[in-house]
Amino acid sequence: MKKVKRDILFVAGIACVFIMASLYGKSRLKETQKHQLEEIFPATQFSLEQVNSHKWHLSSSGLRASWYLYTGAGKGYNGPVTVLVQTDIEGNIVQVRITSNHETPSYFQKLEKNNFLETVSRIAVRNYLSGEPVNAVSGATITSRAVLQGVRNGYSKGENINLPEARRPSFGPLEIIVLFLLSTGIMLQWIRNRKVKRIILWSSLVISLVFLGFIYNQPVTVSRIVAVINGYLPEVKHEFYLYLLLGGSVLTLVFTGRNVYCHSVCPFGAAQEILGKTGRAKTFLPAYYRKLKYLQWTITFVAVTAALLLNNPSVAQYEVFGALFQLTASNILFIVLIIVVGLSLFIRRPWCNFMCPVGSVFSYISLIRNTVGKLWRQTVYR
Amino acid sequence: MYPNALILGPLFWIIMGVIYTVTVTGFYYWTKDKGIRLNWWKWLLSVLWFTGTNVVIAGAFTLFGENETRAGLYFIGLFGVLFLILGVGLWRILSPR
Amino acid sequence: MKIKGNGLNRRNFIKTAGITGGVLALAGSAGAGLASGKNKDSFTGWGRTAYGKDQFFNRKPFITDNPTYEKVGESRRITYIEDLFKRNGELSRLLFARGNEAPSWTFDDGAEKLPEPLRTYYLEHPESLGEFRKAIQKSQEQEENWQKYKNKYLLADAWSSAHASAIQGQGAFPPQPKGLPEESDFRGVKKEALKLKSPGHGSSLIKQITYSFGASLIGIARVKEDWVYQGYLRGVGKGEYEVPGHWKYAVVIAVPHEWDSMYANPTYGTSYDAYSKLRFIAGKLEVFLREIGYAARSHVPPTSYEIAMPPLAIDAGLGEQGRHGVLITPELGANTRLAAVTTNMPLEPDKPIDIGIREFCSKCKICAEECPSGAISFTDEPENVIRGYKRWNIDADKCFTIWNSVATSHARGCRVCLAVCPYSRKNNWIHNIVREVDPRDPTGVFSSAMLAMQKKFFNYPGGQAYLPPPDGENSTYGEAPSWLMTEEWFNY
Repeated sequence: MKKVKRDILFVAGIACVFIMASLYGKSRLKETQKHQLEEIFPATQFSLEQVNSHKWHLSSSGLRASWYLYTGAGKGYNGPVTVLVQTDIEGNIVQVRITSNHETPSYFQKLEKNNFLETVSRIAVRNYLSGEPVNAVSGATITSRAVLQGVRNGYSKGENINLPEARRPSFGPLEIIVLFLLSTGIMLQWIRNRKVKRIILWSSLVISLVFLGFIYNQPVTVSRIVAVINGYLPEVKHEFYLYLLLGGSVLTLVFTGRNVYCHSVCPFGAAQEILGKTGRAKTFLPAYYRKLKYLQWTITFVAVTAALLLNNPSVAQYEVFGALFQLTASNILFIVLIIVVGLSLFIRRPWCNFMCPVGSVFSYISLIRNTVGKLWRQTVYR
Repeated sequence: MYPNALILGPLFWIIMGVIYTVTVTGFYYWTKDKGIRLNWWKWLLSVLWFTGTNVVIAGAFTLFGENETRAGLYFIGLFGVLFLILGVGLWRILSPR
Repeated sequence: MKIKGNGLNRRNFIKTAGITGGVLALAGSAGAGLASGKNKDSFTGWGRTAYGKDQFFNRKPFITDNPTYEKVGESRRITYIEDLFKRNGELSRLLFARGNEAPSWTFDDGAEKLPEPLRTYYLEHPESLGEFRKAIQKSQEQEENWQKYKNKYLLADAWSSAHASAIQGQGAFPPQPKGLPEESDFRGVKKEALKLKSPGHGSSLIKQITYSFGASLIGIARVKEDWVYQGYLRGVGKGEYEVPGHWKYAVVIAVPHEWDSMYANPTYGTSYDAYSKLRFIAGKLEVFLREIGYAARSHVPPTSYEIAMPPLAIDAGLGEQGRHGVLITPELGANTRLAAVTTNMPLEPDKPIDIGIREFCSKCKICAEECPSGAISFTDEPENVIRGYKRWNIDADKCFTIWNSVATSHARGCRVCLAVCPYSRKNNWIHNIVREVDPRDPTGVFSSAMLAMQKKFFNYPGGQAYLPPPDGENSTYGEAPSWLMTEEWFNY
């Protein structure tokens, strides 16, 4: 009885901390629009005049010209991306700026490197009403689409144009792969024949590593989970696979009690399995295993709370997926990756067992499931 | 600088040749004492692995010398780890089960 | 056969030596690599190599009869209003009248009210008018910026000025031609030329002479009409001109910028180091040719050209044109600056080469990503047809805006596209492997792999970062050499 009560307290306590942190993060003061614009266009050289909530008029006598400014927002990877568009009187874009975003820096840098904003600004602003006249930057598709959406949003709201929004979920090769991986993961639980099981597991691991890892580079990261907790649901029409992946994994965990994602879907888990096979890795079970586990959970808890407090999901991202699959990460993460890869040769799944924050999240969900289950059994069988 | 200087350059490479010979000889006796039988392709793989490791190190340090420290670190990070994994794999092939 | 009581027998000794040797071999590789990387002699054009050894790439296997520019329509010569400097100059005179007079034209008036030939040009290119407005704004910011950074870039600026001094003003060498080419190009020519053994002898002699003047690469081409400017001729002025008959061959000369400062573009770089070298080489060659009895005219930087250089250099087999419009040569990469001497001496022209640069450029796009002005095209295949030739377009107006706004004492320009080009690399083993393997690989897999490494391993700050604050952070592609960093030598 006591143990159940303790578990309830624990689960509810963590949930409370997350809710409070999220509320605090969202309530933090935001700069006013005018203040933001004046930082970009100093009052000494320009004069600003608000037309409506999304449109401004900007003029400068010294430069002998005048412009319009539009502000809008689009749905990014980790939350809204707000965009400022400056056009001349004929509607040709002079510049596009991103005024705020929560994107992972490495993705954001991709846009800068591809001169994406420059490309966007080469097309007259009205062309953005009918769709996406510019191709998204590969490797940062969601972020670049958010910018295009922001331009469309700002211009349409600024000019009071009503736009219909399509809501059909995307369904392509990525969704098929996710469905395949999830279903093989579920199937593996019921297969008894060891040889068949091994073949299915390994083919699933290799497919995950190649497609989810290297080709699409879409493992579940804790920053995405934080974004979902924080109420930023990704766009269904671009990222339906994420709903499948997260929803499918959580539902299987709830109904069968097995963590399919970590076992056979996660591409980084697959990479560690393959490395472990190369070096005949052994399971590492020291006396202080439990303590290491608590350390892993605590670090995840701190990272998620910090991300919620700062209202910036990318803070929580300390995974090394990007470093392995795209070679984009900070130097520390690269060193961590090299250590993890080295350890994986001799220890089975060191990252999953001792470091992975997504693993911690699934452990937490599993804890909720078990606690609720026990509670339910108690009320029914009392 | 020394590899290009009149006498130090050739001297350097002569010493390097001696060192490589000693390394291969040492490896030969070492495997013999460990009871590892080396056939021709195991020899070939071992030599290729050692040459590759040398090239990786030389490449990384060339980039360091060019003031491209970041590129050098990535170079050794990627290919060094790759050769580490290959080395572990090679060791599995060489070592008797 | 063990010796009792002795732990270190012969076999154990060899085994220990073997392990030590393995470690030493790795250390030796590291040392050799480091020395090779640090070696300044591998800076092509600035090392100890001379007498033509800078042109180390064997072009024979890559000779082609079809130059790698693609003719798709009717070609024509370049007219003078297409020259950005001439065009912007005329526009500036309208906008900023002398004294306190009101401007005779402002941007809000639109292109319709411009005088000819500006009106026609800007009605065809409306975006380039808006870009010029931006350039004016940027040049005002640039003047303020220089006050902020004049100490930081003191040495770089002084170094640039020193190079520039030799080629500016009245005393510049070579002197500008005066009068029609038919007289100015023959000035000082001896009455009678000796009989040349063969055009092959002529080419060989001129190449060796020009190498001795300090040229890194030399190629010889027939002068093609399409590459000659129309509407303006040095020594005569504006007007319609035919290509003079004695411009039969062009000796095309290439030299690199000093590499360390070139990698530290835009703020530490300059064009004048290569410009002054080129002017001295071409000017001396001009004199040499006239002395042995042939007409000669040098076409030299910064603006004293009657011929567009990159296509001429392609004809001369020096290299191919890159996405950024600059000639890429196997030895110097994009760090190639060009001059030419036209002559009527009988010469044997070189053949163009195809080393797959265009295929590489369609994949790479690093220069487009890194260009601070966004002037370089991102399209996979060239989409513009310019004067009858298909190539990637360079938006000269956009380039000029940034060219104007770098934090230097005056508009000293920007050479970031030369610095970031993957072909601009040293002459050492690691880059020579790539140099030799890539053009021989028909599948393109090798170059794709190299490109992936190039993009991931090397630090590219991204276009914006090269600009002065607040837009960027005055980044440079490579670290500046200590001899150009003021803070290394002065207290300020």
